[in-house]
Amino acid sequence: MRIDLRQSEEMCGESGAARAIAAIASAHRGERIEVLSDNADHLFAVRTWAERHGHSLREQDSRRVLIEVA
Amino acid sequence: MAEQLQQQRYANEQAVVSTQWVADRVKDQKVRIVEVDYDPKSAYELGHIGGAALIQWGKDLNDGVRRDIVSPQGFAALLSRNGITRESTVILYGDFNNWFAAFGYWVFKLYGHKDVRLMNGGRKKWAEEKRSYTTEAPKLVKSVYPEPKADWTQRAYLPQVQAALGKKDWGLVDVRSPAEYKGEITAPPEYQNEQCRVAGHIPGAKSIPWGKAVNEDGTFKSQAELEALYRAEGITRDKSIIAYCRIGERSSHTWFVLKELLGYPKVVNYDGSWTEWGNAVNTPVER
Repeated sequence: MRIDLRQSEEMCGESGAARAIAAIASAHRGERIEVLSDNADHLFAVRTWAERHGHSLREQDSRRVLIEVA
Repeated sequence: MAEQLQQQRYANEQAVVSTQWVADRVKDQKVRIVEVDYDPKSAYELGHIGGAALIQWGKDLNDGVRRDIVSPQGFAALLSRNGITRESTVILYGDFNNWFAAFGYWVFKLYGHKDVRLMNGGRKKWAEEKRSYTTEAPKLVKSVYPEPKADWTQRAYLPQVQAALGKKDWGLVDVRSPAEYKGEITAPPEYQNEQCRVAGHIPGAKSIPWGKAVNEDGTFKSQAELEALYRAEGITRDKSIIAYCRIGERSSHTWFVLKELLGYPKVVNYDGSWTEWGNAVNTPVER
């Protein structure tokens, strides 16, 4: 699954990071979630939350993280 | 150094500080760093600047019952809890592109706090630079912050906005997204409590989305770029300017730009914004 958070906060809606975290929390074991964002803080939040909850960080760069759900 | 030079070109040089300025002062007792979040679970709780206190936009900067900002008593209690005195240099930063930190800055100014500043770029810039975060709770020593007197001259209420309609010496800035301005939506679907009866914008308002005032990394554009941006839409310093959005936080960001970075003398934030105008009876609407 790919979650694209680029421009996600232009309208002041739900936090982009919160949306990605909710998607990871409801995903099945082994599923891979790719999160794209031009906001480094979104990626920090997703990465930190995922690692804290035992999920694996498979890939990352400055605009993307790939999480494998535990 | 280039960043410091750029900051000095703003009208109020002290209103905004760089991430490096903050990083150099995390242990300075006279400086109180405060993160202002809309969603601390996705931000502060996962990591914050060392020693930073947390102010939550929803429960700390707003009244708990009616629609209004926190009361003077509530503001004094909030700052006392966070170890802030009248003499403290307060640095605000936060999630969501610093919108809620800018709202906090506006509230601090309404209540007359002398030395409050915004960290340029907020959490986005701090993270972009891979600076360190901590999850340690700050050691806060309670202070006694006196109950302030409010200065409402930085705030617009509905009648003031209605009275400004059609007047050439007033300028209205709608800082929402183009889709909101055009009336295609009133609010994102997940925000049921921010929906309105009608969509559109206040007649005569110029559409200048908040994001046009910042660079890709979330920091403010230069004074020259900002001047050109607003001047092109007729939002000039000789007018009284009203900024609005949906609930008043994105417009705080633009109020900050016009008031502090460009030094416009008469700028007010209409925090009632579209959630008030778009629900009020007998208010004109343009699409």
